[in-house]
Amino acid sequence: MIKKIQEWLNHNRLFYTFISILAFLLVAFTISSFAMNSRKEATTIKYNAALQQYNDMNAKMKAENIKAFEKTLRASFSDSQLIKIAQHDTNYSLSINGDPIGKNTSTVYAERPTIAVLISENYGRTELDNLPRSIIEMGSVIELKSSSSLVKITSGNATIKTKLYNFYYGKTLSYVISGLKAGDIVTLEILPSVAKKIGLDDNIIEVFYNKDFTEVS
Amino acid sequence: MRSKNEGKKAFLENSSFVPESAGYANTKYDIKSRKALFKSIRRFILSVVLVLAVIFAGSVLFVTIKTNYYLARQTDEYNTRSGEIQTDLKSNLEAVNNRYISDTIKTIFTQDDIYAFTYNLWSYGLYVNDMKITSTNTLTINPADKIYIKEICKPSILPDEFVKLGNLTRGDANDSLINHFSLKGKPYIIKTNKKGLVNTYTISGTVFEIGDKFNIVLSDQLARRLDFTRDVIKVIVKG
Repeated sequence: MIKKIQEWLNHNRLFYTFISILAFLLVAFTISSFAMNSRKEATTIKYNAALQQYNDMNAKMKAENIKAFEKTLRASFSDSQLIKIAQHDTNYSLSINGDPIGKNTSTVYAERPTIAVLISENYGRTELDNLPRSIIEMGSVIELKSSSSLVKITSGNATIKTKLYNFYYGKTLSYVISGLKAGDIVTLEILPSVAKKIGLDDNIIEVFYNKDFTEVS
Repeated sequence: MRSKNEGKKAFLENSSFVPESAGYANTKYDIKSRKALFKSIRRFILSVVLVLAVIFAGSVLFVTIKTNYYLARQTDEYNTRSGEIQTDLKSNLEAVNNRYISDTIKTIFTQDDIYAFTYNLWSYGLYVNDMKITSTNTLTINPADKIYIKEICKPSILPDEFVKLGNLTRGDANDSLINHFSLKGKPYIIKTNKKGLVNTYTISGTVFEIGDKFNIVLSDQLARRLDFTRDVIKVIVKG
């Protein structure tokens, strides 16, 4: 076998013919690849333009659909029904100093003179994907102007700063209570309807600040 | 110092690699055959390299052609779809919107939610000669009186399939209001008259005579819709 190959390789005419064919194919393929590549660039430009146009058309159609859907919803349902629809899939949560507040929590202990209370509203995936933004906003209960009624804070001489974070997927209202003295008690009275949405048994939570606090089990 | 050729010659002469198959096992100094062997190896390597290069170039060409073809096909598809959307926007927007609304409502709401929302779009009334009956005490009628049930739907821009879910039959195509009430003690037929958003179901095919006594039996659902506390109404025909 090896001898045959060797003979074939040493046969100049056969070898050069074979090499010439390979060289020809190599050159032909390379040139074709370059040509196709430059053609691909042109096709890619056309493809991107078509995709952009398709996306624009889709966005236009989606805007029309949403407009019609909003019109239908507003004509078919009362405001209170729309609020219910908007809140259909919304989740609420409360955290104090970064710890989520559970169902039965009514007392929280703090080791620092600053307490951060966050009340969050997260719109559900179904709402975000399907409902018009204006309808979603109708169902929102977290507003900066209603911060004092959402969570009524009794904290003596401590200072309270509120801030609203408005994300696309929800809102968070932050209350920062600072300047507490050891032994101070901060009382948070959450609006009953919101406490119910959060899933709290009790709408009043007391936060005890004691810098020397040690947990007794 | 040895020249380059002398070194090469010495290497070939001392090399233990002598092809026995060539029949030169005993000729240690056959430089010519060894040269031929090296030439073969060089040519073999060149052939292999070229074959691999051709395969590689061919593959690149194939992938480029395929990508090009795919892009062209996708471009056509996007253009077609854009054209379709454009047409829909111009001449078929209402149907597309309705389809979108239906699909979205189905995504957001359960059948029970839709029923709750559309329940109040439908109202029902039991009438005797255009007078709505509001209590389920014994009903006294005249022989010529006409008894019927009216089903009225409030206008709504919700798609029909959802509006119907709020009615007595909850949109069940195999059910009808006529299955929800009957006359006990009298043969009868029900005449249905559908006019716009009002459907009237009139008891006919029977003659009321003075002294007749019979019952109108309602289904639980219809009794609830009519705001009746009982589902059996006693009827007495008087002169």
